[in-house]
Amino acid sequence: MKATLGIAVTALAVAMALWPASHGRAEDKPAPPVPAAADLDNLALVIFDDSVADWVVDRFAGNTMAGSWFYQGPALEVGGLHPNRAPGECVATPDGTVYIMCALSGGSFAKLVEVAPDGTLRLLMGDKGLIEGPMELCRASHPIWNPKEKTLYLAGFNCLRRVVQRSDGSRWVEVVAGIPNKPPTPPPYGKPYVPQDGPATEATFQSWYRGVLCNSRGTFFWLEDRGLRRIEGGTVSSVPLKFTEREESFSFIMRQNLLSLGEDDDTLYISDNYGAGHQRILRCDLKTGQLTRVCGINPKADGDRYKRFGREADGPALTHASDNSGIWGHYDPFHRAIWINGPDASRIRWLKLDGDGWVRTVVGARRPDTKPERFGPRELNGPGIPAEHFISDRYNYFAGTDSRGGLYIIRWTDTTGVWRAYSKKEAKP
Amino acid sequence: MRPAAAIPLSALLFVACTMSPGRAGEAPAAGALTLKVGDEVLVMADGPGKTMRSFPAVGFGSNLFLVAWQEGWQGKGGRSRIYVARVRLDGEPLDPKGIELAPCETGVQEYPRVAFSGGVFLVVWQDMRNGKDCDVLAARVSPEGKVLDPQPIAIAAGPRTQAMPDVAADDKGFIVVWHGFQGEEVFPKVFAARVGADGSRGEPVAVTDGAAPRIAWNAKEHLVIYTAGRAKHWLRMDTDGKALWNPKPRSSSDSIEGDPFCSTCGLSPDAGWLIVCHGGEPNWWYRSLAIQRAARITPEGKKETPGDTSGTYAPKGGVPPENWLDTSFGKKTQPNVGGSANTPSVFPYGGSALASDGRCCVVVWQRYHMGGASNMEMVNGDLLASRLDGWKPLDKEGVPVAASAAEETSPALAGNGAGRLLCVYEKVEDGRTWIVVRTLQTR
Repeated sequence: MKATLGIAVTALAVAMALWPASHGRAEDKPAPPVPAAADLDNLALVIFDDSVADWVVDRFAGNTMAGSWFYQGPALEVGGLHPNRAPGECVATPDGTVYIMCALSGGSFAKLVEVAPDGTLRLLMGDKGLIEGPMELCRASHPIWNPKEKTLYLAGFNCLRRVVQRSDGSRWVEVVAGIPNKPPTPPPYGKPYVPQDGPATEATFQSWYRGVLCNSRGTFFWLEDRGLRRIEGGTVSSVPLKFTEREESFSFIMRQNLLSLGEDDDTLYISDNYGAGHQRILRCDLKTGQLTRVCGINPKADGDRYKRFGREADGPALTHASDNSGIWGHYDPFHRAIWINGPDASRIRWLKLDGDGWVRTVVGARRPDTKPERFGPRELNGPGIPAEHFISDRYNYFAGTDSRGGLYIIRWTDTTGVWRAYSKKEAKP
Repeated sequence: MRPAAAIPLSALLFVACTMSPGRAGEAPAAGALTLKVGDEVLVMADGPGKTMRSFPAVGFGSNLFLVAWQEGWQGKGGRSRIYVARVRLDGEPLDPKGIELAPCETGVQEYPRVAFSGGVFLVVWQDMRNGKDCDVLAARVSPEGKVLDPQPIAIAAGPRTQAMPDVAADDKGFIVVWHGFQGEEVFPKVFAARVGADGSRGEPVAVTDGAAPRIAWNAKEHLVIYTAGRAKHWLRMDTDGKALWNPKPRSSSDSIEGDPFCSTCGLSPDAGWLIVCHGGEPNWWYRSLAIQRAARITPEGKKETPGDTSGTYAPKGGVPPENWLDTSFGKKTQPNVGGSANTPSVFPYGGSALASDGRCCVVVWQRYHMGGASNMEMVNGDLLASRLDGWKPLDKEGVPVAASAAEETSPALAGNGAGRLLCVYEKVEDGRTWIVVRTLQTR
């Protein structure tokens, strides 16, 4: 145990030392105190963030009692919404419009809806239709916002599509990369996989499933099981990745939207698994291709590999923080934090990039000294739910963030809609 | 490719079955009966909806069927309209260009439903012409194909959402049910309002807390099935919209977990009603089986069924209960997906439709195959049918109604009470949706 503890403390100290070098603003602050070794050895699984009492949750779209049939109208009165239960499924644009991707588990009955700033929810695309053509006649797929062009893109059916606003006000969907419904050709047996890069409309892509996004330069990144693709200037190329730990490939299990933007255009975050089931979030430096673990225990290097195995565990990011059945780490520029969540998670946690390198719980758990409050359907559909009471006996998933400090949440136990969490002290409701 | 307007008669499906004595519900007459499926016929070859049309409904009266559907896109920027077309008993459409029911410059129209009483059809739908929220409107259509209410009847057009209407005919005329939001209420209520064959509308009454009602008349009372959170409940209602039986709290014999899509039809005052629903949604690992299953609702309101009406997993002991309509889940047609050894290759999820043929009920249900980009999507929807003796399916394996490589979904069904029914459904090919019909004949 002493040896294990020693490794853990050493790793933590190294991580603490390296953290400011890679995260600019942290240099301005005094180094946080390293917790005592005894505390780390018996660390609780849930460690609350100091801001937890400031967070509240509003119902944003859908209604628990409105039934399974989808219809349109005031966002808080619609039924049948069924948002996808994964990060990146709520895409907020600077003008306050929020796109929500909906489908049953597995992707059936997909539909893309829009909540306008005035709170009206409208259907944009359904599960039937064309790949290219007038938007209303086309099939929905995963929404991506291009901040440079201020344009909605769609990833799915092995291609990237752009929604073009025409001069007559109509919207047209056109393929800009990939070949619809044509996945990459598998390599011959025994031969290595070679991505089919080149001119964008001749390249082939895996399903969008692992994650697709766009940075402020208008460059798209498309994560696949066997690498990361870049779409820029009408050309597709593969990003050469350098793994810095023994596992030199991704070990995604059946999880989606594992790719996140980072704090600048040369940084991405990729959520991955070690083969043994431990979770990790990797920081990807796009200039060098280097992947550096920023969260998750390396079972081969850091501490007792089974101590917090498969647990939704808070604590020092590199030695104690863990999750189960996969992990999601998505960067939030408003809070300069990586939101941490997973398919089995009931809490929503964060790793502040300007903080002490610990993962802490923000939403979905009640501190021991907080008095329980009634939390029934009426509360669940109203505004101002204290985040400590927004508890689910199954899973709370984050689904996106917005520029006003909002965090969009979807619940496993109530698939009728979307909630928005925010800090009363920092964010705009 | 468009669906064929006419298919050779040799393509007719013919299933013979010896009726078993009825144990529950309305017993069919003894003797050999059949379920014969007719040709697929396109209702309208082209229209303003271009490639988009959906949510078909059908009613029977005056010796013909009236098919209604949503023509066009109902989303943002869309202009979906309710269209109707008359169809003869032999399945031949009488209005090949369709009839637009309520022309309007703005908004969208969705979810039509049809009933017949007093010599007229009543079509109800939800209408978002104000661009903000839905209202429930209605219009009468004569058997000659004339729209009798050029200005639609406003069933519920107040502020906030009024949506998901259904309509039934009874011995006083029509009764329309829907759900709506009132005042500052967070949750919807189910409402009912009478509409006369002359187009007069009675005052709406609040029936219960709930949403998305479906209504069926058994010649004495109405059954209203509605969503109550994550469950389906039902109540018995008189012709004035007064709930006669709506217990709280509910036991498992008074509800169905999971809020599945349900269809219902009336049997008789002594037999009650039938309902058909699927077992649940797919889950992540696709161990879920869904399974369409039937139950009888007794005249008292209790659910009668030999097996469960909810739950998504394989039957205990591997033997499906008798009320399960589709047991093809065990057939493997593809490798396991989702890492589960129990992954089904067909998935009987989604809508169903029930109607009486005058002696027994017929159900048409929907099922999917697994596939798509993730290999976990439900694709290639097909439609199957069975006659029902109470909750008991008489065509256990299901008679294929529409089982091509195209997607065939969203069935609606009406019968003439003398063994002839019309099934109307959506057919999707190459991203284009058509409304098509087939006749079903049971004797």
